[in-house]
Amino acid sequence: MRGIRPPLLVAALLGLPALTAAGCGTSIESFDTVTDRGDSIVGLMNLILVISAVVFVLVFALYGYAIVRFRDRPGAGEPSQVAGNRNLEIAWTAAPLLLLAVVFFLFTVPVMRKVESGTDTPPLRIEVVAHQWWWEYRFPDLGFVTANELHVPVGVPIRFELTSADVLHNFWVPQFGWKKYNIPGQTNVMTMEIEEPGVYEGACAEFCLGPHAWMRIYVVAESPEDFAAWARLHQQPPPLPTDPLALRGLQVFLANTCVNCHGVAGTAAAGNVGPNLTYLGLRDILGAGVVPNTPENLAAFITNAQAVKPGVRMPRYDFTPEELAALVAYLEGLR
Amino acid sequence: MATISEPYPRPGEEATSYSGLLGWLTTVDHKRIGLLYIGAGTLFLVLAGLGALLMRLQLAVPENDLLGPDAYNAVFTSHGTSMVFLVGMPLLFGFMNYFVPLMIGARDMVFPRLNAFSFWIFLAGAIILYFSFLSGEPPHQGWFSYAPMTHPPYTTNNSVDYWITGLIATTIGSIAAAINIIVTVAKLRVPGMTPLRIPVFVWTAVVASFIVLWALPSLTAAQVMLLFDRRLGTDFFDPPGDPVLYAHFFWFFGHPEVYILILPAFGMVSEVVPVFSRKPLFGYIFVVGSTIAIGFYSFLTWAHHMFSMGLGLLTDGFFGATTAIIAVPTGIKVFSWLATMWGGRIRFTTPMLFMVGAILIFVIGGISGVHFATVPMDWQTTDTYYVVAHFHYVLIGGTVFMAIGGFYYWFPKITGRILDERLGKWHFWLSMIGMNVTFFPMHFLGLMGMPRRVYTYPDRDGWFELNLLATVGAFIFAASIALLVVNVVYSLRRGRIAGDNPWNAWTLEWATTSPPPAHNFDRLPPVRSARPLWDVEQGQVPAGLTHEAPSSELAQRPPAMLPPVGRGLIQRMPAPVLGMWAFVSSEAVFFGALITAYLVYRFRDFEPGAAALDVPLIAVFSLALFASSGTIVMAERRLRRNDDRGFRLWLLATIVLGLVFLGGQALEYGALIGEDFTISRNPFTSAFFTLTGFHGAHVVVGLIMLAVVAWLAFRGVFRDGRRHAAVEAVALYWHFVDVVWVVVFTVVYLGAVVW
Repeated sequence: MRGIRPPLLVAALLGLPALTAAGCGTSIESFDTVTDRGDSIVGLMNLILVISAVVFVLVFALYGYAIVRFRDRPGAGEPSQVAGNRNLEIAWTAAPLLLLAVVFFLFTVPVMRKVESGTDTPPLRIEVVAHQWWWEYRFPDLGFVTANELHVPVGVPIRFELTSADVLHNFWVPQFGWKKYNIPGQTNVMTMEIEEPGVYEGACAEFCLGPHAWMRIYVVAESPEDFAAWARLHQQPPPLPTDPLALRGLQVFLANTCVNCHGVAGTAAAGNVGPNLTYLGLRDILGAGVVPNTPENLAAFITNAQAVKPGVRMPRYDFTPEELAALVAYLEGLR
Repeated sequence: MATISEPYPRPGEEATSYSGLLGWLTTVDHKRIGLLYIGAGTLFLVLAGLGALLMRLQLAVPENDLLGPDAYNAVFTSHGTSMVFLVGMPLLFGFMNYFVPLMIGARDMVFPRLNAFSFWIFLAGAIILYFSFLSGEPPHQGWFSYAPMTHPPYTTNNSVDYWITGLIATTIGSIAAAINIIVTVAKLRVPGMTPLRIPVFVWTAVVASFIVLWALPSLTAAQVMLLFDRRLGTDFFDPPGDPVLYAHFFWFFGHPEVYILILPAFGMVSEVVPVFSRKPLFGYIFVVGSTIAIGFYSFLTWAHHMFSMGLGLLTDGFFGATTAIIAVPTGIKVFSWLATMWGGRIRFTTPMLFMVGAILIFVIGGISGVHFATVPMDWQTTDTYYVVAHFHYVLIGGTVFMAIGGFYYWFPKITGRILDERLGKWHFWLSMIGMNVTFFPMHFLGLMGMPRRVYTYPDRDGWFELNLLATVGAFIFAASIALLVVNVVYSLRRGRIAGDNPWNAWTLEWATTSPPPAHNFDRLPPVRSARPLWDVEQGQVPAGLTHEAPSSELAQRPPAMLPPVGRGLIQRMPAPVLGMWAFVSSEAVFFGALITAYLVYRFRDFEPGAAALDVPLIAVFSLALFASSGTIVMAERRLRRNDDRGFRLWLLATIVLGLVFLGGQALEYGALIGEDFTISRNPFTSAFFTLTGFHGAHVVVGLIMLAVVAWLAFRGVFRDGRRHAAVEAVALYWHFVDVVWVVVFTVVYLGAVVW
């Protein structure tokens, strides 16, 4: 035991997870931002981490030296009883204070101001209404509503207006660069321009009871043209099914309690307790990210949602196999 | 000044008149109460630690179903609540209870019975919290239980109510304990122990006690309002009330709480590092000064827990700056300990190993703490595993390892035997490895997108590997704690006999036997510096110059009735009065929170609002209350002149005036409720009734205290100058109730007219 010096050990420990992460080819999403403002946050974070590393190495080196050098050895005399050194004490009070002040006012404050600034051109407004445990996305200027899967254009200023239908939630897509709370009765704003197309996953970061873990965020950033096409589609209600099975599914949907909680544009279903299902067939995920959107998963979710996403508000349904198949055909056909 | 002549049993000996279990149940000996705290803290450490292992098992692999969401949420809530309130605080209060009186050369705490009360009500609160599991409705909202998920319809069972009542009970115990520590250190220091000779651990205990006094009432106020929201239908924290206000109240308590948990641990390091370096603490004044500075700043940083709530740039900037500043006094300590070791003769015994290891782990937590002061970095990392990593580095590296170091250091004093060094070193290395393997990967998990408080997670790149690593680390860490238990059991029987001062330490607890006798000291060395036993060892004080302490005559008195020492304002004040000052300062914070809530909703124009209040009616009845402060002064004056009849008369006049005021409040409430201006109408009415109602409740308590004083007065208890301190303390409380009404009347009633 005596042979191992704490600094060595700590260094080895620090290296371990970093190596693990690197070995898996993992991206550290918080550093891999795709928004204008997120990039400036990463710049600040990098600066802070470099300073942190310097402070860390300095303190550990000094302690390491003291541990090795001043270890009690046989025959060592009584150490001199130094009780302090006023100049030294003032120095190690003033130096960190100065460093912190410089970093805070020269680097932190400008980034804060940039992140919270407005836009020159009117942004695309997206209302993000958090629910236990799904996301409602409203496009007030485009006049449609969707849920759980959000499409946004790249290269266009976007203004997220965050609020909540029930408890506190926190809208966090790590690659956007930062997060903000959804608070009932209040609106928080995040403004940004997404620079690269891609699928960006995130999650509700504030604990909101029950299946908080499965309140994931799924954002598809695409070219303004693709986004325009997606938005145009959503501005129209889905066409009535022509396939008899799907048409039967629509009847099952409207005749059951589905409509108390879910809405589908162009039908009598207008519930807003659970996710809006308009164009559900186009989405990649079900249950706010708990499973991929496949007919099998959808059937399982309808039959016994508790088994797929424990704690979710949806009750179990005892549809006949024929009804279930029709319902799945209808919902998956909403595309 | 009060003196008392009847004999009074020494508290320690009173307790030992019972043996066995009954002895422990009835003890008022600070050492036994300290051990009760440490024992209870250890029990809950094991329970909360088992909860942590359950969580790590659940998170070992993605999409695991060992625990469902509700079970997991209950376990992490219990883990956090327990670690803060049932582990950290009792362990530290245990050490304070045991060692503060010994280190200042006192016979016991100043209020031994209050001390026992503190422990038992703490334990009652802990039992309420754990009973919730037996009832099947454990709290599952997290240790800060943000509104409005604590409200119906989101939480309809009793879980939140267990959390509220359990914690209010432990908080009462903590506040009583804090008052006791403060007054003990103020009043019972051995002659010669001037402020700059007080051991640093005692200083940190005092500063932590002040934080307890002034931070915890904010939690109690928040919990009371939350309870009213849930049970009386008020609207403090659910719309149209403001959930963010709850977060403000919680963190006004919650951030200082971190310093309650860390400062006494810093104090332990400041005792151990010098002893094992054979040098005095480097920069005593800066270490003590930085402790006080941290205590002060801890009240100015709370909103950094809320940066991503959208408080605005100005608020975020202010709290970011204060949070960055608080790193400075913390850094001072790290450098002071380093400089203490520098040029010393360092003996790496287990206590020293733990302290140095703890400092280094804490440095990592301190550095990541500055990351959260960097507001945009906080926006990215808050509510993620990065936070989980950060505060475990602070609380395990800081509080837990430092307390374990303190445990190894003081175990010989408590038991007379030294903990086995070989097992101790295994324990140290195992816990260092376990701790880092558990928590270091969590930094990466947070940055990679894993939110905190998730019962499971999708199988994204690298999440599984890092989580599994953390789980392995947790079991290594748990094994190290098991090793500590083994060491304790082994060393209690076979450990090396310690003798009075096995480490060649310098503070007064080492000047008595191990374990100390019930009355602590037969003799004390003179205190000429912060290191009295060093002075004896170096022959710097004449060997013959030891004085008996406390004198046999003084030992016959309850500590609270000891004559004043010194001529300062605080020294001249009787202990009960000083204790009452501490108590009312704590109460003032409670009212501060209620007044804040009132003002917040006062200006949001709810209808009915302040315009509905009958200001002239209350103005008239307020005169009665204001006058009662005068009558109680008259009563005290008569008492000092030994005019027993006049004393009783003015006392009765005070009671009558208090009753008149309450009658006025009843009239007001009746009229308002008749107009459907009820507590559940809107946030304004909620705040109005809660504020004025709590003041009314305080008037009632004051009246009960006055009635007891009056009853004792009629029995002649206060004749011939006896027990005046009790009357003084009650009078102070009454003045406080009056002063609160001056503020409430101004804010609520005059405010209704003026604004």
